[in-house]
Amino acid sequence: MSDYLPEEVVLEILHRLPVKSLIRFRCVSKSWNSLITTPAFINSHLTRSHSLLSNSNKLIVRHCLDKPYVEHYKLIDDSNDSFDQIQNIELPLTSRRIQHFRLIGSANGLFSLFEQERFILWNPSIRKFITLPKPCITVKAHGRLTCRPAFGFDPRTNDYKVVRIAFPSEEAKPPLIEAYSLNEDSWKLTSASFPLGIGFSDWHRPAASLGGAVHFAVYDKDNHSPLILSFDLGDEVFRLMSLPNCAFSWSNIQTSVIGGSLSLLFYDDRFVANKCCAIWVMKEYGVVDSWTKLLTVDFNKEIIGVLCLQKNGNILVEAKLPSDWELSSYDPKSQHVKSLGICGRPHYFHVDNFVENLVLLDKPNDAVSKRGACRKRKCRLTSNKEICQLQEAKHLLQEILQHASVYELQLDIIHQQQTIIHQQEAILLPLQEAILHDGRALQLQEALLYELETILQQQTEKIATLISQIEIMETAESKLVFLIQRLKGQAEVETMLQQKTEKMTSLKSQLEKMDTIKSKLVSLIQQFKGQAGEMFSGVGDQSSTQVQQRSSSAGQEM
Amino acid sequence: MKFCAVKQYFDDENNNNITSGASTTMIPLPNVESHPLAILITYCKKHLKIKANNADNKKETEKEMEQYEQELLKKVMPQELTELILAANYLNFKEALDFFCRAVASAIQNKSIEFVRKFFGLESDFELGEEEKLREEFAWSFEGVDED
Repeated sequence: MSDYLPEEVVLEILHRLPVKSLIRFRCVSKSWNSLITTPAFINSHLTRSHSLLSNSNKLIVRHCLDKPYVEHYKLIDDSNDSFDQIQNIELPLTSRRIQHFRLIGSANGLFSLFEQERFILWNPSIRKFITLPKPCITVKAHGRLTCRPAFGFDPRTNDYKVVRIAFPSEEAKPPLIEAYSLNEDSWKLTSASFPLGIGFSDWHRPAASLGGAVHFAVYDKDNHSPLILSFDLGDEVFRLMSLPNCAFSWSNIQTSVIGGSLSLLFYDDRFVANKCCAIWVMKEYGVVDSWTKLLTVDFNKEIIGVLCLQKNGNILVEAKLPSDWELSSYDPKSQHVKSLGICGRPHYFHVDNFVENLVLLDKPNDAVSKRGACRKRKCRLTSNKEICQLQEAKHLLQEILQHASVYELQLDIIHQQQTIIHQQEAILLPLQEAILHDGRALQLQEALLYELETILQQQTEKIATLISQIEIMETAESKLVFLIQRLKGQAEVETMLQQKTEKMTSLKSQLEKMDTIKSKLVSLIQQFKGQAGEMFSGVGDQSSTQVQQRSSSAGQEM
Repeated sequence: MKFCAVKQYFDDENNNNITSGASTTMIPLPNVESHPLAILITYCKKHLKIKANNADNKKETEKEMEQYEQELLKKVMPQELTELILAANYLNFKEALDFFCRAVASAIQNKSIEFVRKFFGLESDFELGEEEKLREEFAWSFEGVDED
């Protein structure tokens, strides 16, 4: 790919790149670096990015947080109802004297901040800021001043300007006016004459920058009628615009730009319970009759300030919620306030349409113009500076001493409180230990109880088994008894049988004996018969007696 | 005629040759290769066709053009884009130039510096330390860059 692209073609491509890529591509080559940082490219990139769809729906929200005192700039996608945060960029600067910088205004994504006489221009798109040179109108040179600043963009010269209208302390004197031009990087006093008999209705809120002019809400000191004072940044001329009968309060009016038209916010706080804000829009610039009322925001004790119109028709407001001040979305139809979760210091919120801008890229970091200051003036300035610094240091030391004495008292109190705390701790410690100890004892007892319980359980189980065993045994015993009885009975029967058998045997034996005897007798008888037959005569008596004897003995034997 | 350079040529021809109306003249285009020219011609024809179809409805034209452009991008290699841009630039064909520049821009938007150098055939001509200084100062712009 070695085709050489002509510069015009490269520019065409560069114009279509977002700021982040352009910053990075400065490192591609020297020629690209110089292309990207020429003022012509910076201006043309802005004009072309206005038409890029991706940029038209973004808002940039400035909010200030405390401790640490940091300003945050959030990029928000406003194309739908969900307030999606695309990015959060912090201002890499802290103010020296006050907690947060005061905002002068914003234009094309460039913010102008100040703190007393220190002015800063800050571009969150490229995260770069510059400190402006010292203004011509200073307290040192002109005495005490009340100053009304403004910031705007002049499209005819592609220049950003900071304007200061300074009123000296003497009422009669007319105000001094100076303007800083970014292209020239210097402050210049203007010869423009501030209209007589005009006073500012609003000293602090950003003045609307539209069509190359900044617009202030003012009032006529004679008849108190509200007016708009415009200061053209190109020809540096003041012009007054009258308003139709829409104003009921000249004291609290703010200029703004809504939907590309000049608009006025009328804060009505006549009735404490019913504070509201009416938003009017000048549909055709310069035509007084084209002022039309857009809507009224009912503050409802929550809202303290109106900021911007969202794409979906809701209004972005500063609302006081129980815990904090938050950026919220107000729905005009339902009058419902929805918190968007972005907290910050009240009256330090600012919302603007966001476009990516390369402005300040070609400026050296922290440009402080030393042009036109000769050495003598420098020396005087530095010695004045030193005196001022010494005075400041003296003031600071005095403050510190005051603070130190207060701190000492506080330290004493703290010491006393510490000793009291120690005593209380001493009392508490043994109690704690006792509680712990009791706790431990309780734990032990619990453990013991638990053990006993388990033992009891086991024993009851054993008893149960024993009982069941006993029952079994009892039944067995009864069975045995029964058996024994039966056996006994049997034994008796047996003995009886035995006795009977013995008797029988004895009887048998007797019977046998008798049988023998009988047989003997029979034999004897036969003998006798035989003898008897022989001795039938005389012996008969003896033998008969013998026989009688023998039969009686036999009989006796039987 | 979208190819303004060619149109110029025709205008000059007509001015010189009042009677001529023939389209047989050869128009030299020394700086344009045939391949990108073919793509440009198709692009132009399609553009005119879509415009003719949706004569009143501008949104429809845009939508259809976008669809065609998306499809075209899929067929074209990123390297060819630079050739197409050069061709469109030479022919002064505004719509095509705008389209292809947008395509290149979105292709390189989130890429690293080395990728961009390779893409355009450029080399770093910084002095020692200059580039480092820039990188350091704007370190935040190097976050979230696509890997090569």
